[in-house]
Parts: sequence; structure tokens; C-alpha cells
Amino acid sequence: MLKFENVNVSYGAVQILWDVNFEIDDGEIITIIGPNGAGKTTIAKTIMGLFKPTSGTIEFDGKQIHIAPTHQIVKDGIALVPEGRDLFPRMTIMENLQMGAHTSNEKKETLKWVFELFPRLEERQKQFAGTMSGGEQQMLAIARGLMSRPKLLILDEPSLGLSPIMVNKVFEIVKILKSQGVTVLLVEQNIHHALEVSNRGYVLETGRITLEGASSELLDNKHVKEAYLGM
Amino acid sequence: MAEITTLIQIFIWGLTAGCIYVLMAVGLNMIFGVMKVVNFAHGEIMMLGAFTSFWVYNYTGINPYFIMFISMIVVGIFGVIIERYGFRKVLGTGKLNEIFLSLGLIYIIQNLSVKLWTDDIRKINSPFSSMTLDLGMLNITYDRLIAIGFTALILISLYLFLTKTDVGRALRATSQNHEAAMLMGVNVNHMYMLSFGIGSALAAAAGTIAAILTPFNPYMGTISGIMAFTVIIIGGLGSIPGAIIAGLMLGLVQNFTIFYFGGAWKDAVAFVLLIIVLIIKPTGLFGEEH
Repeated sequence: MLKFENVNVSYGAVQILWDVNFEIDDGEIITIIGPNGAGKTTIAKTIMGLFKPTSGTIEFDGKQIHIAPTHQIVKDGIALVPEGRDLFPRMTIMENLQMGAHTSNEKKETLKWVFELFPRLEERQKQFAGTMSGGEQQMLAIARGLMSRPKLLILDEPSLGLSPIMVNKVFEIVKILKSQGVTVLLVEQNIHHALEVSNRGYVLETGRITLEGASSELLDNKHVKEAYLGM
Repeated sequence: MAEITTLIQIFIWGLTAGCIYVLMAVGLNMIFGVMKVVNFAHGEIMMLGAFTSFWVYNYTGINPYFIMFISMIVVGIFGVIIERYGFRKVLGTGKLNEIFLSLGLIYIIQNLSVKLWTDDIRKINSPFSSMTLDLGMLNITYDRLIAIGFTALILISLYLFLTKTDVGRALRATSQNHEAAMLMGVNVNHMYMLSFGIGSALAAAAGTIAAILTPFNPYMGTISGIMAFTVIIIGGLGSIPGAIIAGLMLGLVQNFTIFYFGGAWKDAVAFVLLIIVLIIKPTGLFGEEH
């Protein structure tokens, strides 16, 4: 479904991604793990066209998307729930969700589906997004991402800064999405949780993919255990 | 103490002057909110609005309040062109480029207008110019009441557009978080053009109302443009309610100042007001803390 081929990305004079290759198949949950500053968010933003690769290609559903503008990539069926959530603070929950469905023609049905996943949002749809707690904002951000009915949903650090209860809720949602066949790319520092819900994972270190494999293998990997799981 | 009727009269004058500021400032804020660009040539756009209305009126003789909407469309399209082929080209290349582009536009538009239409003083004659609402001691010209009514109508339409339509919502989203709007699938380039078009159309309405109420020439926009900036800074950069309150406030303060202290203080008092507000609340009345 999504394929990175020898992608290089620079920010000014600094190269952030080096010859990155990876693939996501239909219905898979994929995790990219790695330390802070490894370039995980850059991968997410590059998929969305917010960064342009200096070389290499990104293919989505057989289409080259690395040359497309962001709004076109969204239309093609990818949604990013960005790190830090980036909600519209002076808009209500409902308006944020409507923005999520900006490119979609089936707003009503999608809204029903999203409210089933996040009943709290339905109760409080007139509240301003800026006045919600961090955990609720993360739920809204995921819900907003789903409103475009994406074929691929990218979650960038969805558990960052959340209480343990909310972290569990986030991964609960990922599991539900998995059971409904939504393809998800998880970019996470909460490695244990992330690998538990995903099929496969990639380890990104200083801009390079250094390790890849089935999630269960990565959880057992010596390097991953030492460097990321503190074992 | 002045008579109450005189005070009411000054109040109405203040409100009409305020309406022109409000239309100018709301337009400027639309553009700033969505693009984070300050268009110093906003006063010259207003002047083009006045001239567009003047010439259409001159050749057709139809009611200038109807012409106002034609002028809004024409100047709105002009605004879109300026964005597309002017500001878009320098967007993100540094604030200085945007500032100089808009400063350059002031002189290009102003000088070209003088060249084409001379700097003679002109006026649009409203069919209601000799009609007044007679309330015993109090006389209010219909034109001032119509100006207030049209301003309210335009602002209400803008409010409905921004809150009730998909495109309006996308505009607000872009002004609140530009990158997030892109991630929702909004083509922000379209939003830039639209904000410039709407902002310029509002300036054209302000220019037409001003040209009906007072004589004008190609230099009319200079001080109006500066006042519009004063208003958005008093009201809080990017805040539309702030621009409305501050615009009306400035119109009233100026007109009462003229009455009590004389016309020479008219423009100075605007900056006194600005300084007072900035001392008390540095972000402006409705500005957000950053």
C-alpha cells in the first residue's frame, strides 16, 4: 500500500533521513520506533508532503505521492494525526471533526462511526477544543483523523504526555481499528505498547532504518531490549 | 456642556466613521489571520474601491449603494490577483520582502491612479444626500444611517459565511493552524486567495461608503490605511471582534475629540488611544497572549 524507496530528506543543510526503505501492506499495523531526534516525525511529515525528499520515491496505492501537494495526498486517502495534536483550539469539537471530513463526501455515516468509537466526543460536541484536557484532545485528534475515512492512518506519538489510563485507551483504539481493517502506521516512543498491537516494526536510528521484523521478534531482540526497553 | 442633540449627532458621526474603520480593519485582519501577511497597501485597495464605484456611478447613474456590491466584486478579484502574482511569490522568503512589496504597491497604485484620474477632488452623490431623518431637534442624514446598516449587513454575512459554510470553516482553520489545515486536505493556496479577495472586497465597501460621505482623491487611502492598522493593533492582531470594537471606538473618540479639542487632534488622538491600550494590554483588547 505504502512504499518508501531510498528516501533521503534534508532540512536545510542537515540530512535527516538516509536511504530509508520500508513498506506497509493493506490492513497492517506497522510501528516505527526509535529515539528522540531519529527522524520519526520527519517520516510522517514526508509521507504527507510537508517535507519533500531530495531523492527517492514514495508510492501509495501505485501512485507516486512524493511530488504531490499535501491536500492531494489527503484526498488520496492518508491522514496524519500529528505529534502535539494540532487541533483547532478556537473551534468546537464538532467543527474540528467537520474539518477532518473536509475532503469527504460521507460525513454523516463517518460521524456516526467516529462517535461510536469516541462516545465522549458526542456528548461534548459544542465544547471548544482548546478547553479540553490533553487526553481528550488526543482522542479528538484521532477522531478528526478518522473523519476523512483514510485508507492509511498515521499516528505520530499518540501516547506522548498522556496519563497511563489514556495511553491504554489510545492503544485500545488502535486495536479496534486493527480489527476493523484500518491500516495504521504508528510512530512511537512507547515501544512496548506499540509493538504489542502491531504486526511488524522498524527501528529508526539517526535517520537510518537499522532493524526490521515482526513485532514479536523485535520485542525479543537483544538490541531493542537493551536500548529501548531497559532490560 | 453641549446639548444632548449635538452629542447624539456626534455619536452618529462617530459610528459612521467607525464603520469605515471596521470594514477596513476586519479585511486587514482576515488577510493577516490567514496568511500572516501585513498588507500596507490596504488603504490603496480601499481607494480603488472608491474609484471603481465612482466611475460605474458616473457612467450608469444607478444607485451607488447597489454599485458598492459591484465594486466589492471587482476589487475583490483585484485582491485575488495581487495575492496570486504578488504576495504568493514572496511568501516565506522573509518578512522584509512582504513589507516592501506592500509598500511598493502603495506607490504603484496611488501614482497610477493620479496618472489615470488626476488628483482632483471627487464625490459620489447619493440620491439620499439631501434627505435627513428629522427627529425634532435632531437631524441625521439618511446616508449615515444607510452606511451603518450596510456595514452591519456585510459583517453579519461574513459571520454567517465563516461559521456556517465549509469554505468559511476552512478559512478559520487555516488562520488557527495553517499546517493542520493542510493535513485536513485544505488547499491553503486557495484560502490565501480567498482571504485576500474578501479583505479587498471589504476595503472596497469602506471606500465606497467613504466616497459617498466625504470628497476623495487618489490619496484618500493613506491615512485610512494607517488608521486600519491602528485599529487592528488596538483590537488585537487577528481578532475580528477586536477589530469591530476598536474600529467603532476609534471613530467615536475621534469625532468627540474634534468637537471638544478641534480637528487638528483627530489623528493624534488615535495614537494616544493606541498607546494607552498597549500600556494596559500589550496584546490589544482582544489579542491572545503568546
